[in-house]
Amino acid sequence: MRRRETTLDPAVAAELEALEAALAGDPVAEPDLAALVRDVRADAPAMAPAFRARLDARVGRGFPKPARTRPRRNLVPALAVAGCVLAALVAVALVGGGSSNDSASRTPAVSAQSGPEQAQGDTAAGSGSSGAAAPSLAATPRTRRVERTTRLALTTTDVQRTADDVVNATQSVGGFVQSSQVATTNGRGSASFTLRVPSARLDDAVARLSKLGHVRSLEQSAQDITGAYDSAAARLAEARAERRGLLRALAKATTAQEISSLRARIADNRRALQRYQREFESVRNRANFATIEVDVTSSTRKGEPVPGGGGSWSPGDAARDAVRVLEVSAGVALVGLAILVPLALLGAAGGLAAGAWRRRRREAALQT
Amino acid sequence: MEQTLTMAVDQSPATAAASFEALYRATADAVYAYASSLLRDRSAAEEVTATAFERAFRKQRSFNPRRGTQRAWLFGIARNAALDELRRRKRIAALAEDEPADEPAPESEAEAAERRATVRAALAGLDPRDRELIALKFHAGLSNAEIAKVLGISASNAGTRVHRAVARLREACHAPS
Repeated sequence: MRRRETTLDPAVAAELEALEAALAGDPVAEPDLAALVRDVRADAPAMAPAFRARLDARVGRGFPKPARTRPRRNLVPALAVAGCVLAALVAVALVGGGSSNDSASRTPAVSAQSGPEQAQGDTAAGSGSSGAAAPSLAATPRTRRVERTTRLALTTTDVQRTADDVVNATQSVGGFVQSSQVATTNGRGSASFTLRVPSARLDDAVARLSKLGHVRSLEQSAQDITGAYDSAAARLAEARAERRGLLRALAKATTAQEISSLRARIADNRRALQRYQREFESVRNRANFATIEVDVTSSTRKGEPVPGGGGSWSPGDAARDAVRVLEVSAGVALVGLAILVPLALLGAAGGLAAGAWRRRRREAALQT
Repeated sequence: MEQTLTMAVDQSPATAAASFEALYRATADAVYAYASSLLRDRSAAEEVTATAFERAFRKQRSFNPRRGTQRAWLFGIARNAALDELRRRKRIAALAEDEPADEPAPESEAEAAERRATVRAALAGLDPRDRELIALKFHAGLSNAEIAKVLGISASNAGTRVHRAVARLREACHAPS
């Protein structure tokens, strides 16, 4: 802190110069002032020889401290290490939680038995539609029917070629393209597909599709539709049973009115049977064919690796991770500063206030 | 009294110890006289002197030559120790019985003894702040700039205060007893 300097009064300055001359032992100094200096100095308190000897010894030994019974622990290194560990944990947590868009999530599939048992049931229902007996729900063990849906997002350098490959992969597993939308220009653009593949080959299909580009996200879901399936099958079986009963009654009818009435009921039964057949086939398709929704987008630049994409950990990935770690570290440091700076300012203000208070208390000791 | 003492921060421990010992040899008497003038108690002055040098020894690295001379730094430490002691003890003991016996020359024994007794009485009657300034100026031999550093005031203010203290001392010496 720079103090304001004021100019000394010339008379005061002159007397101070005379005092300095007397203090310096100048022969031309004012005699009265020189005598005062001499007398004051002669009256200066002198150290007792014993005290001087003790102090000399302490200075010579470098003011040794009394031995501590318990060594004081230096906590600075421990605190520094703890701070580093905390910062690292925060950084790791932020890095791990910052890429939710690129993570592939899988919904655990409902435990389902599809395949041989399911095909067996389908065969029974299908045979029923062609006139054979409907499946007996009470007799056969209950088979779980599961509708499976997968959403797959891919990035690729050539959307058009990938779109073609998606179609080929779908057909190779016995599936079909339910709908598609492709918009490309010079290999760049986007494409979306809704694919239906046999549920038994869903995993195979997803594996093939995943190889066509960088997987940005993968979501799988499963819904148990056993109840809907069984209901549709039961309605269909009842309608068929009714039809058989009506046909037997018609064979035994003798009057024209009875025959006419039975034919009308058979016609109603035929319409109901057709409706139940469509419902049953719809539910069966949901169980037998899984839906795969595929979105294909082009990479930012041709040949550029996709951030967060699959594959091995390349030097580019390492560089991106390093940048990310630096970003997070800078963020942690910024947050730390936001906390520490106000605390430091408060501490500085408190220190200044305490210093001023301490000075005032000391000066007060000189009050007469 | 006017010695140039240096105590560089980057000194080796041995060099620093030698430098500190030189400072001690050059200023020990002045620090004790200053402490005695402030406290007016021999044992308290000894305690404060020892404390001041010990603190200075431990805080050697805190000395910054750009903020003043080493003597001003040392007397600042001594002043804080003395004021702390004053505040702690809440008493000011008389030095009269502890004063060393003067050994005046035979031909002016009576006159010198009388003059010193007058000066001693005048000093004892001064305000503690004036007595402190007299001690810093006459015993320690500090310049006004150094006194300003010790007291935490400006150099011109220090000069004015020294001038007033000396004027009051001279006035007290010439006042009828």
